Amino acid sequence: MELLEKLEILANSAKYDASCASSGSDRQGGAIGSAHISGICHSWAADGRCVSLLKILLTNICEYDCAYCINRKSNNIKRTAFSADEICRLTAEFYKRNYIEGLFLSSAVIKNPDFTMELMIKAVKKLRKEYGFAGYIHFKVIPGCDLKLVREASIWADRVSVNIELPDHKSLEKLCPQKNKESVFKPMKYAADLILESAQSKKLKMAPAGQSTQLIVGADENSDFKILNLSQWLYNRIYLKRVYYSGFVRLNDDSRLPALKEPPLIREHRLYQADWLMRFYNFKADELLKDGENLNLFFDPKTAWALKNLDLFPVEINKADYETLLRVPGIGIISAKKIIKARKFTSLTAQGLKNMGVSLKKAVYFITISGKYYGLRTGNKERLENLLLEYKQDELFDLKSPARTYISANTGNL
Amino acid sequence: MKIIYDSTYAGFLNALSKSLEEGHEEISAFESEGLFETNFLISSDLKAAEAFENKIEKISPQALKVIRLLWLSESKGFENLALGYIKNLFKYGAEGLNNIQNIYVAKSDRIAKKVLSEVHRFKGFVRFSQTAGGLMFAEIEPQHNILPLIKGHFRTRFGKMPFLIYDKKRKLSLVNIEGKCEIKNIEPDFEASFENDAEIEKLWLKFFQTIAIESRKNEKLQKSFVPLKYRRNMTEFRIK
Ligand code: SF4
Repeated sequence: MELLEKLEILANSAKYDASCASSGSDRQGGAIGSAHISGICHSWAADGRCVSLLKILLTNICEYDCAYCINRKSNNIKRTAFSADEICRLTAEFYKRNYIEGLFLSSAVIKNPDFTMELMIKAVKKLRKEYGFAGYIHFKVIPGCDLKLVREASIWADRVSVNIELPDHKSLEKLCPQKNKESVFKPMKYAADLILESAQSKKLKMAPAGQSTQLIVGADENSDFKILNLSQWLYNRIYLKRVYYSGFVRLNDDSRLPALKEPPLIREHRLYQADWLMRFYNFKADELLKDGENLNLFFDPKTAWALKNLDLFPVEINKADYETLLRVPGIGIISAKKIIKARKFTSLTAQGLKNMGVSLKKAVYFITISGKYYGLRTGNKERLENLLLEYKQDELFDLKSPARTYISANTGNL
Repeated sequence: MKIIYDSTYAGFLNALSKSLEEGHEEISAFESEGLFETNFLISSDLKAAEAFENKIEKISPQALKVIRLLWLSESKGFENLALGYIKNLFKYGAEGLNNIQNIYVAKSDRIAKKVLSEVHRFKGFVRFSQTAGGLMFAEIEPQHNILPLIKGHFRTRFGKMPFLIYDKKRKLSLVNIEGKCEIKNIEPDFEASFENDAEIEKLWLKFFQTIAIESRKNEKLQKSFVPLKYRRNMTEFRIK
C-alpha cells in the first residue's frame, strides 16, 4: 500500500482522540528540534481543532471490539500498519517544514497489548536515536500492557496517556468487553509514580510533560457530576496534567450506544469550562454540581454557580481579593490580574476599567465600583437570569469565547 | 509642534526624548501637509538614542520592552502612544506601569501584547520547503515586524540546519548558515521552486484534510484561528 493511503487510513482512525497538546516540555539537544514549553498550534483543521502533532495510529488492526470505535474488530474497514521507518520519516520531514510540533502515536491492539506496545516503542526509540529527533512525542499507552513497557515508553516520550474513555467500570465493561478498570488504572498509576520519581531525579527524565487522559462524553448515562469528580480525583491524586473531554461521535450502528445524531458539543464545551474552573479558579466539583446533575447548557458554569449563590454578591472591585474576583462572572484570570495590578496604583473607576479592557458587560451585576452598583439588584433573580441569558447568546455563538477556550484547551496555554 | 523623524529606530527614540524635553505633542515619520502646521525635523543620533534607551531601562526594563514592541508593531500612530507611555513612566517611575487605567499605558500594553501574540502564532504558521540545495526556505507576511522576535525560536529548533525566512512585506531575511543566525536586508536570490518537496507536501495536505471531523465542521472557528491573511503562505491552504 502507498504511504499516502496508509497515512489517510491511520490518521482517520486516530482523529477522534481529542488531545493535541504539545506543551509542558522543553527538551533540547537532539540533531533536530526542541519541545516548546508553552505548546504551539501549527494549524487548525476545518473543525476548528488545533493541529499540533502528527496524530496517527501505528496500526488500525484490532483484536478488540469496543462498541463506539471505528477500528473495532467487527467493522469491515481497510486495515494497515506503518513501519517504524515510515513513522520516523513522516515525523521528521513534517517537523523540518514546521508543519508540526511532534508525534502523537497511538494504536489499535494488534495481537495483544504487549506486542502493540513493543512495536510502538521501537518506532519512537528509532525516532529519537537514529533520527536524532528532539521534538515532542505523546505516547498513548495500551491498556492492559506490561508495566515494564510503560516505563520504556516514558523514557522516550514527553507525555504518556492512558485513555479512560468511560467514567465508570459498568459502562466500560458494557462497551469495551475486553477492557476493565484495572487494565486502565494500573498503567496510569504506575506512570504517575514514574513521573513523580523522575521529576526529583536529575538523571533520567521520564515523560517530563506528564500524563493526560481522555473521557468520552455522552456515550453512556454518566452525569457531569460524576465526570468532574473523576477529573478532580485524577488531577489531585494521579497528578494528571490534563483531562480531555471528547463529545461522543456515533460511528457505529450498535444497540448499546445512544442514538445521538450530533456530538454533544455544548456539553463538551461546558465540561472544559468547568475543568478550567477546577484547575485555575479553585472551584471544587461539588461546588459546581450536586450528585447526578449535569452542567447548565445555557449558562457557563461560573455564571450558573453565581446565580445559585447570589447572597455572595455584589463584591467591591476595589477591595475583593484575587480569589474572590476570579469568582465573578465575566472576570477571568487576565482581568483579575489587571485589576489587582491597577489597584496598586490608584483605585478603580468604571471608565478606568473600560480603558484597561476589562469588560463589565456581565460582571456589572456582580460588583460595586467604589460602593456604587451599576447593575440590576441581584434580589431580582429572575430578571437577572433573563438579562444574562441574552449574554449567553454571544457566548455560545460569538466565536471569540469558545475560541479562547479551545486555544487554551488545546495548547495548555494560559 | 509636530516632530518628524527619519523612520529609523534611533530617530524614533530621539524624537521621543526631544518631545519630552520640549513638550511636543506629536511625533510622526511623515510630514503632514497642513498649511499652518509647523514641522520640526530631526535627524537621528545613535549615541543619544542609546543613552535614552539606557535611561528607560534603568527605570524599568519592562518599559523598554514595551517601547521596542511598539516600534516593531509598525501600527498607525504608535509613536504618539509611546510618547504618552514614556511621559507616564517619567512622571511616576516604575510604579507608573501599574497605571493601566491610563489610556496610553493601556493601549501600549495592548499593542505590545498583539505583537507578541503574532510572534506566538508565527512559531506555528511559518512553513518551510526544502530547496534543491537542501536549504529550508519560508516566506512570511506578518502584520508586525516580528522577524527579530522569532529568531531565537527557529534557531534552537533548527540547530545547524540552514534556513532562511523571508519577510516579503519588509524585504528582510532571517538567515541561518554556517553557525550564524542574522537578519539581513536582502531578498533571496533564487526562485521558489520546490518540485522535490511535492511528495511531502502532498502527504501533509492529506493528513491535514483527513484529521478534521466531518460532524464537527466549523470553518468560522477555523477562520478565527487562521485568518485568511496568513493563509497565502501556509502549505495546507496554499495547495488546492
Ligand atoms: S481497543 Fe477498542 S478503542 Fe482501541 S482501537 Fe481497538 S476497538 Fe478501538
